[in-house]
Amino acid sequence: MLRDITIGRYVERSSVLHSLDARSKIIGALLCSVLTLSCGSLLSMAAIAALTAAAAIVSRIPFNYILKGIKPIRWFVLFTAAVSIISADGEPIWQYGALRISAEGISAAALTSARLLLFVTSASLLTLTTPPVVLTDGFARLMRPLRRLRVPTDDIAMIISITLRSIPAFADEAERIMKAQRARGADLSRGGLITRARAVIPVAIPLFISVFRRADELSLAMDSRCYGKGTRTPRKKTHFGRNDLYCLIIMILFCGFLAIIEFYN
Amino acid sequence: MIELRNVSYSYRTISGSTAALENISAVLPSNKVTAVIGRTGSGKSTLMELIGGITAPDSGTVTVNGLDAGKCGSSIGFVFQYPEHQLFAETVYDDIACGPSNLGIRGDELEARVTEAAELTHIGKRLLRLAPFELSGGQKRLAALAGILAMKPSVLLLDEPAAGLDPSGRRLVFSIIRSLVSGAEDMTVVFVTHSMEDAAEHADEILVLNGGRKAAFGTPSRIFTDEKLLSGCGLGLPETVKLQKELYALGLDPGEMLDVPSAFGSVCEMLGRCGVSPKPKGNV
Amino acid sequence: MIEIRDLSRTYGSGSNKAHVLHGIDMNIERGAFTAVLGKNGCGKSTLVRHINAILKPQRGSVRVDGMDTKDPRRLYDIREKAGIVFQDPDSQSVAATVEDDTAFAPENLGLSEDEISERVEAALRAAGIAELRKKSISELSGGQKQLTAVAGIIAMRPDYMIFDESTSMLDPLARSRVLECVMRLKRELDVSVIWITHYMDEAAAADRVVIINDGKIAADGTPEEVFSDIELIERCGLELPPCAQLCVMLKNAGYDVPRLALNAHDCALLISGMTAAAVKEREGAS
Repeated sequence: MLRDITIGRYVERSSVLHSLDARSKIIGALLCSVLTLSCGSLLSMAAIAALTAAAAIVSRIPFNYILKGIKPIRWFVLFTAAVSIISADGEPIWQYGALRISAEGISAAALTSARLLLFVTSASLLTLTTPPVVLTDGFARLMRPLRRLRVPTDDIAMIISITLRSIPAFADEAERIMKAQRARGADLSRGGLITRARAVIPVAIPLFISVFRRADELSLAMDSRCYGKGTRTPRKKTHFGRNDLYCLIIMILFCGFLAIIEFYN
Repeated sequence: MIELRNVSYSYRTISGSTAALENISAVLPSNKVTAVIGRTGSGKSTLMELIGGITAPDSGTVTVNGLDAGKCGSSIGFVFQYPEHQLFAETVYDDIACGPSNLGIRGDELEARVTEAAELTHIGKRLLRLAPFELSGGQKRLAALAGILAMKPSVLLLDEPAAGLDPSGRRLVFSIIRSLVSGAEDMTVVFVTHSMEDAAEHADEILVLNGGRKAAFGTPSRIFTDEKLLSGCGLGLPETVKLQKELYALGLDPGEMLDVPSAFGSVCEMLGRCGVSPKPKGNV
Repeated sequence: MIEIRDLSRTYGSGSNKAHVLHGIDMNIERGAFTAVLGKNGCGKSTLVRHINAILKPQRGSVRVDGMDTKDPRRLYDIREKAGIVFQDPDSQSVAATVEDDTAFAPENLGLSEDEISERVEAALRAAGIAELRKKSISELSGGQKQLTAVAGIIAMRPDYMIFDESTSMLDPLARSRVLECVMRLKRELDVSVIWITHYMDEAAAADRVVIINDGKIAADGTPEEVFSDIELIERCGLELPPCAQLCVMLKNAGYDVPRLALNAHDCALLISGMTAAAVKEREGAS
């Protein structure tokens, strides 16, 4: 269900992960994504998975909630895995006509699936444990050096935060609209490609209108609260503390550890 | 007729599942208007979705005119709270036609259905040619209602049909609802409302929900005279019932006062008993 | 004081030209609770959006404590003085938690961190939601969301607060909580309230009622004055509060109803007064 999307939702818990500086978490999540993309061995993936799992446990967010976030991409994961299996070369261990499955294919499939899953999970963990405002502040602070190049970093950070926060609201809205259209006999899940594409219109148009209406109302509400005065002083939401230092040390050690694994593979 | 038998439903959330409805049983009669009242989160919307066959109960059965609600298809019409969620076509006419044409109706029959639905909901020829987005809030709601009526449902479910409407729009919506059940055809109407006045004035039967359970089911005169029940469910009294209580506290007993017309009757009678009589007309 | 002079606004052009507001003239004094009524699309939202300079007058002028809303230099001073709480609880929050959302306006005003914390604290307490401060807004009920929006405006320390149908999407209990909160703010913080509503019982509690019809002021006075003109009320697509309807029906039936009662308590006193008068009359006769 659309409602299951976890990216952009924040879950209040008191945990070490929640209390970390947003910058540490952003760097951590980015690093995780970079590592999953650059490492090529299953052993490295297992190590990153272990680290992500450890972070998930530390976050005290219910495990099935994180799993729910993966659910919407399950078909995509299966599809890419299937493509990697079929397209891989190597000695077939099982063959049926033109369909050949090799050990290389299986490990390639495992690798791409792991990459996707870890990527989504680390991004979800970031937003699940960091309130959007704090996240914005973190992004803004990380981007601050760009200000010298006249990049409006604070506005960009605000846009990122509002976008992230809006995703669950729009998912809810889309679901309500789909219910309303189904109640009028619209069939959203049958027929060929064109029939389906046409069936999207009754959902897409009201959603589009609703998104614009809400965006308009939100901008009025922001104007009413003096946004744009140009003197904005966001409260300092980030405090780089001892735990952040430990977190960075762990990340550096982890990178070194992965480098060794990759080197010997 | 809608029969609910031991209906339960739970939502699955982060921290396991929470019961939205627990063991609800009731029979909502045909050619009657039933109002569902209760606080936010009492399970009203979930109940409507179960009756509408949009969600299936975890346990128990929901039957609509003898059929399982999930298998009723277009014989159940559901008007959601926000008409904006439903309207999408280029003109109001096309939008009303969308439901019946999804059912495979074409040509003259389709035109007849749209015209009839527009007449029922007081949508004039001029409005039919407009884009749905050009309509006012009240007109949008009527267009959404017409879009459902064009499918000729025998059960009509409405979520907050009058929310956000001005008094004249509210009167119109409820007069349309009344005309639907007083026709010759078999029709069951159920609406959800926050307004005690609307429930007291426009419903024949009231279903009160509290924390996912059935707190009461009965006629307005039974429900709205039971203050303990209503306050226990976090609901208020209709203004006229409040007046009745205030009068009682002052030592006067006017009898039943569910809405303004019945309050007028009761007060006149009581004034008569107390020896207050109206001056003859002409002196006013 | 808010001074609105000859305020007009049109949409479209040529033959499609439609007046949304048509020569509105009114003053809103400090310290009053003003209810604004009118049917959907009568122009009441458009009117109040001129007060905090979200809309600029096409013709005429709007001044808030002497500041012209057309003057770009005073734009933020005006918005700081007059804040709006909107209708939809779901599209007004900028931040994820109650506390962060309340801090949004003070942050925009460029206040120091200590001042921001102090204002947030005071605003949360004034709105009666101090215990919700760490809560995520998505977990709140509709009423709590609206109270958060109220706190977000109070944190600007405004003199005028405008509510644009802010209770229309709430259930009755939440509705009365928000109204109670606003009444208390008016008393304790001396804010002037401009309250747009469809609920006649809310209007009955106001100091002053203004009815807008087709972009013009159709009535302006105390609730008793405005609601006693039943023809006007009906012409504007409105209706009287239930108890006032009853009074009018009794009067039309020929009973001697001395005045219009707007709520149940007052109406009961009025009716018992009528019976007592009859008893007295009979005793006097015998």
